[in-house]
Amino acid sequence: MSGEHPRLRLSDTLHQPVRFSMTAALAAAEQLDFRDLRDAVQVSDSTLSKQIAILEDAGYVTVKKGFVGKRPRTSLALSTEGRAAWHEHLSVLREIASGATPGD
Amino acid sequence: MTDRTSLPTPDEARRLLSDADSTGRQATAAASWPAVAVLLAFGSTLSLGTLALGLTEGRNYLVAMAGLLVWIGVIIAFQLAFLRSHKVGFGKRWVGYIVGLFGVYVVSMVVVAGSQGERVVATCLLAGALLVVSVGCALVEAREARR
Repeated sequence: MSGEHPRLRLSDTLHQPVRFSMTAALAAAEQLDFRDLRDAVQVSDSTLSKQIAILEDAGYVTVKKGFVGKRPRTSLALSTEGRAAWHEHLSVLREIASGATPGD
Repeated sequence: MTDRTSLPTPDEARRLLSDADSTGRQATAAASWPAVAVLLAFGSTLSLGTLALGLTEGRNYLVAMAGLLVWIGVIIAFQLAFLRSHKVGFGKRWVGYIVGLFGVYVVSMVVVAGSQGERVVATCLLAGALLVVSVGCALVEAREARR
């Protein structure tokens, strides 16, 4: 054991509140429609788009854009890397929640 | 950069874990119901279509076939419009549902294609099989929706 406090292993990208909620929602799904994700995390379209771009840049989210008839549709999914990062983030939170942290 | 001195206490971590769990469930709560509707619609359409095709001949057979194709088109359009979000594991389940349902349907088509209104028992059995398979698949998906 390194003695490092678990919080130092939390992902900065995933810990931000909106991105945390987005990732929690995406982790429960194979894919989510943009509107369903927006409704789940209760943010504006522009806020959601901005946070999607950050997660996409980090390689955590894949974005598929398409059309159904004339209507545009955006689908989002956690990438393999994103799912692994999320599981690691949750495991660190569980470690902190259990109170078994060095130096506390 | 996140201020790591302000990162969670054990209580906050527990709250975050609880939030993550409820957000995940809430985000996918409605995702399965369009699939349930599509499965039931496919089941009823294919089952009644099989009955109609197996028990009719000539022009009536063609009318029943046209009606069946229209309904299949409507269901596929509904699916494309509303089946937008998928819970974890849905892809594999969906392939299973479609293979099961259309596997029985292919057998039904072979039987009713040469029925000319004569193969009443086989037609009824296959229509019943389509009903059972589709309702079974819809029940599995409905249970997933309530998890």
